[in-house]
Amino acid sequence: MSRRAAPGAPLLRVGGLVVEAATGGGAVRRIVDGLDLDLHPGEVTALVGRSGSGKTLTARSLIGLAPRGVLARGSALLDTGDGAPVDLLALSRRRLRAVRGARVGAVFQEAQAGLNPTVRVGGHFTETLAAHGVPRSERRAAGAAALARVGLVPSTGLWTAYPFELSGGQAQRVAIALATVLAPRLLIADEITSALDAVTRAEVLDLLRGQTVAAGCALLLVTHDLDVAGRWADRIAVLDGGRIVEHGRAAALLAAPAHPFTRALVGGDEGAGA
Amino acid sequence: MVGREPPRQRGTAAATVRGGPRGLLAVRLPAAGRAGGAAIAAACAALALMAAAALLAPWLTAHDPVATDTSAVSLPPGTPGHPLGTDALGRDLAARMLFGARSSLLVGVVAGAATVVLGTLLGGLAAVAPRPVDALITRTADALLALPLVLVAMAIAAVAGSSFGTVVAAIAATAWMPVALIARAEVGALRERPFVRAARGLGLSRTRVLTRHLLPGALPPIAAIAAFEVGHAVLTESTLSFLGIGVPANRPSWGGLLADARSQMLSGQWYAVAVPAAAIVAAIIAVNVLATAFDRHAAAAGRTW
Ligand SMILES: Nc1ncnc2c1ncn2[C@@H]1O[C@H](COP(=O)(O)OP(=O)(O)OP(=O)(O)O)[C@@H](O)[C@H]1O
Ligand SMILES: [Mg+2]
Repeated sequence: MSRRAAPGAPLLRVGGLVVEAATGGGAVRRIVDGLDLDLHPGEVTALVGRSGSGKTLTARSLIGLAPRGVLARGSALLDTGDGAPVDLLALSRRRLRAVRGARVGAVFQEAQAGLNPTVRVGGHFTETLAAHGVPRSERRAAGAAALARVGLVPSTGLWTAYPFELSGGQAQRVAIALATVLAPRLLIADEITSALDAVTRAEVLDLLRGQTVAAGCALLLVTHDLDVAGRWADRIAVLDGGRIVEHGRAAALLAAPAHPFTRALVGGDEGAGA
Repeated sequence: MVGREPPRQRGTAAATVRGGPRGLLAVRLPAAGRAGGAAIAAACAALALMAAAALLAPWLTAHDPVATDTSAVSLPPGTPGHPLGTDALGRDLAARMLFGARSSLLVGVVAGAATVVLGTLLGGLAAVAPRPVDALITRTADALLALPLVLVAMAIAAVAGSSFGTVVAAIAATAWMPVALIARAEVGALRERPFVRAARGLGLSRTRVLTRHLLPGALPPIAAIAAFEVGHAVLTESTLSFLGIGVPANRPSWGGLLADARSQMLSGQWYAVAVPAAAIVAAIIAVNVLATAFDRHAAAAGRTW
């Protein structure tokens, strides 16, 4: 990336994020209530919290993918690497579309379901690259490079495979390769490993962490598993009651949890997120 | 995951519109098995025969379907040279039936296709567009469904003047609603699927997401109703032509033949009505049999994704 921001400046600064869901009869339910969070370049930040605490809605709101009836406000300033930071929550639809996929990548749970069953692996790459103006002649090579980066052999067989022909782990890697094919500055990964076995999970997370550190981008790892957070994240942010109740270096936070909720999570240990 | 999306009538429209043949001449196929298989075979054979008749019309008869012959008026079927007899102007009925198949089947297929395309686009648009657009499309569909549509089609055809294009437009404009409701329900159900969200997260445009990721998944149930729409189009075309506002009078069509034959009914030449009427009924039943079979097959195969 050409221009590095001042040292210590966050890559993404989320400020006062409020996420509200319309409930029946015109009422709204506030799910996230003034969330502040900084993500730093070259770092993995884990967003942890119990089930239903709003992690997924937070992640989706950041890229304008909140479900219908869910509204987000606040600010999410992304340092795109060129020029002034852009506020993801204030972008026009068109500019947001240009940012998605290129500057911010997102991978969600159930990778297999995240790939269109009627579109081949290669088709996913070419249409994404086409949407961002990559010339036709370069698409195949770019896709193959992304697949190789996630540890897959970019053979013709894989390129022409349909998603259902992939294993869960392969599909997850394809989804990661797809989200990172344009080398985004920020990658949002929501529970991407909960469906994988321990070995594959470790491989996938090692790989994401390696990419993040090497490229100096930021990874937001959404998980309810404190073990995952402790092992792969540099920082941990604990979400409870719609706010970040605790935020700090992973090791320090786990060694001495300050907030009662974090203490309960750490104390509950193995069973933590369940 | 609970209550992901406010009720947008997912699936319900499809549920009410789907589920078998609609309207006039709707047939219930016997439950699969022998009888069902025979019905399907018969329907295929009947349609193949009609299609062949339409395509090969000039080679199957020596007569010009519009040439009048005052020396051979109102001949009964079986007259040498005129297997189905002639009408009051001495035009050969067999030739008129063959060439009529061209108009009727062509309008059926083209208008059926136009209906499906229009309905799919409007329904898909309603599913992804902002609420006001969605409301406009669904309200229009509801309002149209509440009207006697043959009268609406007649009004359109009467105002626009009779031509092939007018008939197709009048049929599509009054028949798109069930297709649109199904497309809207299907696309609406697909919208929140993870791969659609992922596609949006990768920066694909709305149009691209709609055409590449939403509509293809909605096509199987639409295909099942498409065949019914063809049958419906054949019937509507016949009705309009019978009323003299269908395909132009100088082009024979089955509905037009019925209209011509009205006066002959009174003079005992029942066959002049019976033959085209039978052809219309047979075509629609055959199409509906196939549509039902297809619908069942699709339902049994289930969604593969
Ligand atoms: N589309 C929606 N409309 C309204 N409320 C929603 C919607 N999606 C989620 N919610 C509610 O918002 C809250 C947060 O949901 P979210 O999916 O963000 O939780 P989460 O922290 O990701 O949980 P998990 O760990 O189980 O994935 C939940 O109470 C949920 O019921
Ligand atoms: Mg979640």
